[in-house]
Amino acid sequence: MQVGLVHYLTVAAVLFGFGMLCIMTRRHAVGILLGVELILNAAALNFVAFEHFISGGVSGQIFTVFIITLAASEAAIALAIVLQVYRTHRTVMADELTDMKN
Amino acid sequence: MSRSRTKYFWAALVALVAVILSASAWAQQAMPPQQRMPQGAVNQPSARTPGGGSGQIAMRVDGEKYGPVEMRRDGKEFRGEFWVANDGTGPLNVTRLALRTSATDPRLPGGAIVAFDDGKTIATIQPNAAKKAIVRWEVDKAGGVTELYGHVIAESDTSDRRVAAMGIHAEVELGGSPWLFNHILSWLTFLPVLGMLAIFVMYLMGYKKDENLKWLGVGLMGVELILAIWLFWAYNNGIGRAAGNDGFQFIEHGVWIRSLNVEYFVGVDGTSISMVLLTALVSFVASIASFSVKTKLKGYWAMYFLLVTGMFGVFVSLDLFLFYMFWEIMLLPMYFLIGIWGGPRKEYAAIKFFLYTLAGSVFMLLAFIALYYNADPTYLVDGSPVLHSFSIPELMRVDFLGKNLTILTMSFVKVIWVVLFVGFAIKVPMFPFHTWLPDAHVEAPTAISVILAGVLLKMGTYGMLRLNFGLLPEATQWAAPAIAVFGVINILYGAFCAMAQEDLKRLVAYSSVSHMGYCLLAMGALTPHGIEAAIVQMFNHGTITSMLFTLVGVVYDRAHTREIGKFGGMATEMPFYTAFFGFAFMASLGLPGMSGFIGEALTFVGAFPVYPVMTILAASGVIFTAAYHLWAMQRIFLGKFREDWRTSHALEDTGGKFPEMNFREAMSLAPMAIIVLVLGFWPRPLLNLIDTGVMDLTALVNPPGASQIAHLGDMASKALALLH
Amino acid sequence: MNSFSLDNLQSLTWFFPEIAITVGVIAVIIWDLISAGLNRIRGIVVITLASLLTSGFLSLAYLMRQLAGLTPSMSLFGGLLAFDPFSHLFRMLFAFVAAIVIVFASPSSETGAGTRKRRGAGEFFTLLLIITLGLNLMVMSRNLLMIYLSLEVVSVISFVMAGFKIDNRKSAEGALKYVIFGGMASGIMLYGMSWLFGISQSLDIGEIGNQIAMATAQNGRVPLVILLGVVCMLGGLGYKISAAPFHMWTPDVYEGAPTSITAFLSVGPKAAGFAVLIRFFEEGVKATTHYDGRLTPWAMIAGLIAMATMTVGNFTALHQSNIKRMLAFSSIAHAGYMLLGFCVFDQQGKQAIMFYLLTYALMNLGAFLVVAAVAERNGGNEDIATYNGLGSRSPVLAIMMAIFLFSLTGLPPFAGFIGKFYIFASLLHVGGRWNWILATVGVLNSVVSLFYYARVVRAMYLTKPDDKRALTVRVSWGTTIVALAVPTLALGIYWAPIYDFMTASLLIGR
Repeated sequence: MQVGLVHYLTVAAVLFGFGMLCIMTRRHAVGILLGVELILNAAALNFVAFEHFISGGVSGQIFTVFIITLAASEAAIALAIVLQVYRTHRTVMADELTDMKN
Repeated sequence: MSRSRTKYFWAALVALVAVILSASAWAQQAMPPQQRMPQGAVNQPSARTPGGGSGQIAMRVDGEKYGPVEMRRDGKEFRGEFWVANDGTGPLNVTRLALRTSATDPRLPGGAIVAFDDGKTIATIQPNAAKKAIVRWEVDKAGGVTELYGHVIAESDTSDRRVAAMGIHAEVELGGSPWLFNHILSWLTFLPVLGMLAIFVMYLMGYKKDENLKWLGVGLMGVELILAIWLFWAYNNGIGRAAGNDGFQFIEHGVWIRSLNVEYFVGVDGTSISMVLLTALVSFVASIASFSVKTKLKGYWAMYFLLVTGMFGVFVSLDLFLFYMFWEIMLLPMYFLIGIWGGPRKEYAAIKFFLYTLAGSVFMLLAFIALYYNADPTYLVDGSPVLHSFSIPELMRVDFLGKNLTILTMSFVKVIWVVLFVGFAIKVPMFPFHTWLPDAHVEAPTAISVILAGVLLKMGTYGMLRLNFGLLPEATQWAAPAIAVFGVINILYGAFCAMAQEDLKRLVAYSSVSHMGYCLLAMGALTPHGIEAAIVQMFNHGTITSMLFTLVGVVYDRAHTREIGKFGGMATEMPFYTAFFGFAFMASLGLPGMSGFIGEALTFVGAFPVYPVMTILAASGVIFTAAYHLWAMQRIFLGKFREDWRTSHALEDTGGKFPEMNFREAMSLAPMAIIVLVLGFWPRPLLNLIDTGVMDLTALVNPPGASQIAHLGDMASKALALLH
Repeated sequence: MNSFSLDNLQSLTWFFPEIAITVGVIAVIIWDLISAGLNRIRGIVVITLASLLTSGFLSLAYLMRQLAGLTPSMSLFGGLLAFDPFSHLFRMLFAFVAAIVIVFASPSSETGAGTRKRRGAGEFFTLLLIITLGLNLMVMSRNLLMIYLSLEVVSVISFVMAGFKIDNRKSAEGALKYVIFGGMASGIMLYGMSWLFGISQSLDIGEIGNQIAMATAQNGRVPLVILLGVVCMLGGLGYKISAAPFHMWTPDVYEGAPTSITAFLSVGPKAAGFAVLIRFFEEGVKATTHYDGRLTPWAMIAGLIAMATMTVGNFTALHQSNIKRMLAFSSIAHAGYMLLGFCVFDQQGKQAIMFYLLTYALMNLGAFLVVAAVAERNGGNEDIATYNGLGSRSPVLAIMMAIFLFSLTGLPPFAGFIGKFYIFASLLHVGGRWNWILATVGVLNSVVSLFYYARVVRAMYLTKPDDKRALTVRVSWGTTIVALAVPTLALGIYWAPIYDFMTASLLIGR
């Protein structure tokens, strides 16, 4: 079958959905960050897909490279913060972090 | 921070603020001139070539675009000159140079004339040329008016047919010192701010003898009282709207915030002059009553002065933005005055007062903004044309009803009227928005209760008269029966609640609710007697209730309780006090011979023709009023004196005896007592003050039908003759 | 739409504020390495302040040039950044805010700068400078990529700074919640951006705006795809300004972070977020309140978010006993008020938001400074009960706090009232049923806010102090507090020059 724009967009949307689900339901901090990564990659896929099928320039692909870079740096910072949380709280389960009243 | 360092900080920061302000002023200068165009200003038309005139009119005085033309005294008349210039590329035909006034809408006092220097009112001006115009005002023809604020308009054949205007201003110098007497209202309003600054300087200098601050307070309020008495003497009773300047006197008018079309516009007329006098009197009396405050005096007097400024400001301001600023400025001092120096439940009372009043006034803000944006194009005092204005006299001329506006599908005028009314009704206080009053009154210190009951309550009804009646007369006619009904509810409900009270101060507070009901009923009648009765009742209630709260304070200072049941037979202990108290209570229940009766009688006279049933109900309210007054008097003063006071803790210092009223307390009561007695027998001074204002206001809300106009002069003079 | 765009080399000549900050960053890093002791911290503070002041004054100079007509508005770096008075005003604001935060943070032990070993000082100030650079870029961004990049710079560094208190449980927890929420929000924004890119085949905001306008004109209504894309973008931007329902991170992060960072976060990124919102909706969406007589979805969405934000902020603040948390919710509420000005999508709303941001910066920074001063003397306790009797313990501090709190409520004669006045005026100027509803909700929320602000004032003045000792304040903090309070009072009485200056600048730019 002919793989067209719609298929890419659908995959990206599914990834986005999974990512949101991941963020909402997981307890482990790193697991939640996995969800964030999924969402970022869904957007990256969207960019590349639109780039390839509709416009002819390179801005979509450039954007995707930037997304990868920023996702990496964000992940680095996020993991450092997870480490700090572990050091102070001795746990990384999000529902056990309840020091501050909600 | 230590004291010496604090001084340097303050100095450094004043310097910083000065730097910031001058930097911003420089920044504004650095911008090209056309950026300084005010928001909402009508654009100057660019010169257009054929078809219609290609001239471009501009009026200038002393080379400046904005006036006003200051007319100088020249013998018996005032003279001012300005230039009408043509900045366009073609010739300009000025078709009419005239004053902005007309027979149906008199804006200027009589005796003013404008013409070009050749005596004509039409001219042709060549490009880049200017023609001098002269405006003259013969003061003797003005019918007693001592100042003139207005505009000269010029119609010409410019392509957009825009009417250009230039402001004109002339003032007769009053008294010996025009810097004082020509700006009396600003002095009255801002003199207490100088008092605040004096206290601040004293704080910086580490002044320790706070007991002397009370002399500053009394002194300043005394000066205000003297200025107010001068104002009363200099006020011309006969000037109404027809005489010019919309019936206002002692006007001060200048542009304040150009981008918002806000002006500094103050003046008094028949409606507000009595309130200004009342404020001065009550502030003076309350300052004497403030001697009983012993702690944190610097803060107390600073807040007191700010409160007085706010009160005067509300009564004299004629610009909605200015009105709102002064209205809100009063909230902060009241919160602190009740909350810091008050009774046991002071915090609750203070925050309740604050929340209620703020809730009412924020909606007032929305109403003001809505009125502003729906106003007609007019001119500021210097002649600059604006699309909207906050000025109350200008807004009074706008026909809001005719614009058929709607808010949320309801009629604009009705919604705005209700919003304004609720905001003022909270202050009156009107049932069901009155619940803040008993708490605030009871918990506030004596002097603040006096001010609260004496002046602050009147601001509600004043606001109704000035804004609801003045700006939206058709909606007032629509709502008048409701006002009257609420008035009667106030009277009866207040009386019933007062009868049930055990706390003397709470009883007096509810009696205030009841008395303000008479104002509302009278206002709702929309008759000349009714509106006059409302203003008279406002003034008289202010004086009487000041006495009442001061008297309650006297006994509270001694006994540290206000419970009626604990007293008895006080007539034997404090006979002098009993006499004063009896006098005050008789005045409050409306005994003929004292001013309270005048207000109530006028209310019935004014309301009966329109609402007979409600007037009868209100009159029966008088019976209940008498009931709780006499009952309270009987329980406190007559009967046997309770012997357990002899050994009580409160009277330890005085050996179990109730000390009689001292000189200071008598002095805080005497002025009001004299006024109450004099006005009871001879109300003419008060009535003379307000007559013309009342007739103007009544003509606005209750315009006579065609057949009545012929009789009006007759009826009015007969009716007024009845009062004298 | 900017008239012309410059290429990379030419743009550098107009990029000096940011270059100054970059040079400052490098200088601080080097100085941190090569010097020691007291000189080190002094040098760092001086370099940071110098680069910020340079950035601020250069922006002012650019603004004056543009007002005098010497330089037209243009876009830099081939359409990535905008050079117009709108961005200059914001950059001046950021320089000012960051400078105040420097004063705030330099003696404080929370950032390591005030401790004996002065660990962490170099990093702190470097990161602060980089955030300011990011904020500057945010307000200038005209390109989706640029928006995303600058937003991420600000976000990621904010995550770090929120967790700057090492070995502090609350700080770490706040930072983690910030990371999770921020990551999710920027992911959602990115997804929305990808759809907008797909629809318009361009990353430039102007192009996107044109495409959206064409699509709307063709269909008669906004196509669903565009709506979804813009709403997703709103997710990311709403998170930055802590609008409901993207505000959940705010209270925890504000409570956990060092107070100086909280103060900065409550003003800086919020202002930048508003700048991006305004620019995006004006150029990218070309939003108006009414289209063909009907309410546009933009007005409806913006209005709903504004009402939700105000209400959530005000009503939740009522229950707080920690003053930093209370101020966090109050800042959410203020974002709601500013969103009201945003809802009208016209020049008057923009001017109202700018003025409100200026007054809000003054009030909020001042309030947080007082919080820091009081908490420092109370061993880090930030409960409202520690304010009991402050009126007698430290009269000056109490008066300043009262000024800030009453200004935040919106009472005359303070600057906060003028800000709110302009917001409501811009709403009622457009009129219409929706705007009247928004205005009513807005004023009701103002009244509710009095309740929790007055609680602090009541504690200060109407309650007896638990500890009667006088509370001393550090000299630098005390001076800054008074320096912020005086304009709060002065701008409430005489604000015309500053307001006219702002509106005149906005008149030319866009």
